[in-house]
Amino acid sequence: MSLDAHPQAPAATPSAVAAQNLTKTYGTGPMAVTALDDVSVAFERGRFTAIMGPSGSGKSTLMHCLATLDTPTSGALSLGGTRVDGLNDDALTTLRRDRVGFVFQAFNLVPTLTALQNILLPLELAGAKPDNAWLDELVRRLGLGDRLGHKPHELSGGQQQRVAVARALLPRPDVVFGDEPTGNLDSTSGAEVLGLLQRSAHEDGQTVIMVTHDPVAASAADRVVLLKDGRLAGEILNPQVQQVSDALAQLGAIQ
Amino acid sequence: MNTLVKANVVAYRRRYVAVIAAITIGVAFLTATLYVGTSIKSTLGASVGQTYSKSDVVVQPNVNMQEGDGGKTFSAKQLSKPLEDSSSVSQTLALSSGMMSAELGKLGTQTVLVTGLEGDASLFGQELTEGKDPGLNEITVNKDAATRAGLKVGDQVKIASFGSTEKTFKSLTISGLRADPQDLSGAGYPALQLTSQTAKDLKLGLGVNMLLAKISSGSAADLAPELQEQYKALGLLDPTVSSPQEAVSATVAELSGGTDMLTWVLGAFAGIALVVTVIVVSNTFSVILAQRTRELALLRTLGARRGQIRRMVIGEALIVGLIGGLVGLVLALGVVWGGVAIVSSAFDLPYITFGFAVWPLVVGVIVSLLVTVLASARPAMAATRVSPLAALRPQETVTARSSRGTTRIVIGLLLVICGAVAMYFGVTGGEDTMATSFAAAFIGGLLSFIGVLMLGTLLIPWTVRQMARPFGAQVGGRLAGLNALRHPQRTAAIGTALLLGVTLVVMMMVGATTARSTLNAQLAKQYPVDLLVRGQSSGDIQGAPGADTGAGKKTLNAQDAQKVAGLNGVDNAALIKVVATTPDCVASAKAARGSAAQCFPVYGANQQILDSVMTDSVVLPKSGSIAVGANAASSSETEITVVGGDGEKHVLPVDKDASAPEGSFLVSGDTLAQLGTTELPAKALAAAGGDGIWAKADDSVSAGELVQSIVTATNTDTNSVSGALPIRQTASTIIDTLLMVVSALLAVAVVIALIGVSNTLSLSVTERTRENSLLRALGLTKRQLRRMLALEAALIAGAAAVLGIVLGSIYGLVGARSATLSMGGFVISMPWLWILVVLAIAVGAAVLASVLPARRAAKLSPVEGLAVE
Repeated sequence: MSLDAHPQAPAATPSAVAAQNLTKTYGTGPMAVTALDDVSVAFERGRFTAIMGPSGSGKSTLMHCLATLDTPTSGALSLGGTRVDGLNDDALTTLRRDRVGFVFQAFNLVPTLTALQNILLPLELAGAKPDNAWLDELVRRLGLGDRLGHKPHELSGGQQQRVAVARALLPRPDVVFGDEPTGNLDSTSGAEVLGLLQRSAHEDGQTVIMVTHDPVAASAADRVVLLKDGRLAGEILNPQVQQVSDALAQLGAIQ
Repeated sequence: MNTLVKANVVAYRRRYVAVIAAITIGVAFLTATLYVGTSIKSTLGASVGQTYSKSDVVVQPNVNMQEGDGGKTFSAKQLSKPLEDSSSVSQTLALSSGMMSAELGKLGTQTVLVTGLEGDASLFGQELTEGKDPGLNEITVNKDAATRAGLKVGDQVKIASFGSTEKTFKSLTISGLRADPQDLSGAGYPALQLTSQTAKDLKLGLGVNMLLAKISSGSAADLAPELQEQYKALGLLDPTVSSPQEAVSATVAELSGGTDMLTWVLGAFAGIALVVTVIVVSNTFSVILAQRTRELALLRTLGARRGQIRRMVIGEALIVGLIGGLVGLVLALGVVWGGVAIVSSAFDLPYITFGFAVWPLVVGVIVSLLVTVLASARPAMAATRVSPLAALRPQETVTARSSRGTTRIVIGLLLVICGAVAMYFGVTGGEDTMATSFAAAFIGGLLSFIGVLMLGTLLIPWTVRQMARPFGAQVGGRLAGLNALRHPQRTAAIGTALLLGVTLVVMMMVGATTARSTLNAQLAKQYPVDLLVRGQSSGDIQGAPGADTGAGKKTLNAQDAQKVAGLNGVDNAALIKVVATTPDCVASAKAARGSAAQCFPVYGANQQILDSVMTDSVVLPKSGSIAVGANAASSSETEITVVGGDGEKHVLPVDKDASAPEGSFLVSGDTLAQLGTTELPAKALAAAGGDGIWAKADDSVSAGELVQSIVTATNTDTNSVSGALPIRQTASTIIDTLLMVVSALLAVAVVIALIGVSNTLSLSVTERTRENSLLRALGLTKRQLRRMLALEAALIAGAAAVLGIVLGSIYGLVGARSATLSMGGFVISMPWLWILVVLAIAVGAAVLASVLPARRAAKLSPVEGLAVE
């Protein structure tokens, strides 16, 4: 683990995640479906990036491949400067454990463990000790107070998602992936979760990549990468809600 | 609704497979038990039926009449007369039989079954296969015996009345050979037939026990009243006249009292297996229905009434039960039919037949339906409580409800307490209260066990929690523990099923080994030496009082002891000297009288020698005192007077704790010197039976063989050898065989419980697909996931097995104690190895059962798993 390898100044550093000619095909022969078609994209360190696109554009597949949850059919991928394509499942699992954080749309927490135990889970799986100062800081940011000892079903949806964000941030991974992290939340809770992600990118230099279909959520990011039919379809820097909505509408209209 | 029921069974068939397997095994066990019963009956029928196979009417005089032994007697002719007089009877045959001895060619002198035939021999059940029926001074022999004896038609057989004072072996000529007898009561003995005239000439004294007749018209029932009257007029008290079928059923009923008992005992084991089946099936239904909550709720939103949901669930249960039951019936038929066919052909016993009947099939089907309906009743009730809203919830919120039922716990506790009190009385009673003690222990055990099973919802999760503790340091271990306890009721139910089986198996093992060691200790007290060879018994000197050691009788010496020690199956052997005798030996030797009734030897040797040849747990007499063997002196004696080699009388105090062989005394240590080191006078020594050889056996050779080889080695006879070995080996064999049979029968219940553990785990893993995928995404390796699931299975099975072992040990010890209250000492002996085997099987099978679901879970990519609804 490279806990201290995160520079505070994001701009001039190499990519946290970089994909070269990434292709993902499901099935074979005439039935084959190309979900990702020769995608080359890089994500800078310490940046909060949103991946957007209409349904079926391949945004989830791209995130799964970038996060090593899924293996691309071809193409090269590096994570934190390490080539990861071609690694076996155990190596990928260890890599995920040590260098990748996740926030899913739903079912983020293990129901038998308390909120705090859930936060500590990835570190425990790695057999590592948490950075207590960092843990305290995260817990403070969570604003959960005395609810850390509660089981997930005793927490609200927003609280559960914030716990998931804290869990993703605690090991200071190379990158945190969010798969529609606000998809199931009301606007207030959603804003809180996005605020946590934003802050970690801007204050702590944490690289964050989030898949979303919500222009409001995407506007919280520093950069929006647009996808259509498995190909890159442009990007927006420092996006505004209206800008993103327009771009999305455009992508849809061309269909 | 019916379409839905069928569709559901088909759709969830994989989840129902284990339910079907459990029902199949349970029902197959029960049905097989019933078919074993019918087959034994049909075998008995076939066996006794041969006797009546050629006749239409069977008359059983049922009075012990001896031909020609004075007083009121009936000859075969007399008894045949009423039949012969009847117009519809065409042929008659009177049978009289008894056990005799005969010289049969190569077989030598044998005990044989001789049947006297009076009348038409063609009615005799065993058909002639060669030659003709016997005439005067002729005999027929069954084929098998003739072959073994190397006899053929025309050869001679010598026959004599068995046990008659004046044995007159007379030669008879074999006139023919017959089919072998199938009657189980006479099976194994050579069967010889002759005319009643020949039997009379030989003074065999055979009694008529049956008359057979062939009739030209009508039936046995038509003739019966008239014949019965005529026989009563002759002076018979209770003659029966029946058809062959009636006679067979009457005989079978008489013989099969024990069969019904066997069916009941086997049925009890089948019952245990079925109880476990109900638990397993009920639990599986609960799990399956919990997983289908949303589906059931959807039906409710679409307008299904509660009753309809309940009927749907029970309908599914009935179909599943019927399938399991039918497979079970086929299995039972196959196993019993196959078993009978194998036994019948392997031992060439054609009369061992499979008894088919329809009723066991009906019972099997009814029981399988009952089991499933009973098992699905509670889950079905729970399913109806699903609110339509549940369908609309975004995701299943599986939370462990802790409705453990206070009433249940209170009743369970009360039962445990009552049972414990009853068991306490069961083990503390005395010899006089033995029957009631065992009953108290039995009822107490039963009550407390029901109580424990009711407390299962508390006990099993608690045990799982304790066992999971050491694994909590690692996150995988902690998760395994948490998952095992996620649904405490599910875990408790499945654990209870296993607990039931393991408790009973361990109870039998502990009970049997402890009963055996207690019995052995008791035996060792009475017979402290495995095998004891005496040169001559004290009675042997009667005929030759003047001779040194009895005419032609063997005196045992150290060389003989060496030979015995060198025999296979002997651990140690030594010559044990007679160092003194009771005064009577000296007196009888002097007086040259025959009465030596109170003449007993006093054996003596140092502790080291005695330890090497006596039974392990035996207590040796203390220095200065004497041990008294059974029948050597009254048990109330506190002092024994003996005469040593110095010719002096010595008075020794009795050591009550120490043992000596039956009919002798034993001294050791300083007492030896005290009695004088001089050799005993030869006559007194001879009177006391001479020195003995004591041998300790290592149980590698059967007692019978060992006695034979000792007799050969020491040139003595079997009467000279006595000791604990034969009894100990017989008792051990009986206990071992019973234990093996009972364990095998109980194993069925354990197997069903293990199916339940496997299925529950499999369903739980399916239920947690998303969670497992999340863990994989967060960095749990495939191996860690598999290990986590294996540990979860091991924890549930291990907790149930450990509880079962503890309970089973308690029950086993209580049972053994209450059954052996009449014996002095109670020697606890735990079959640790077997207990470990039981634990290993339970845990091993559970871990094995986790392999498939774990592989499935590990194979699933995290993306696919997380996408699962």
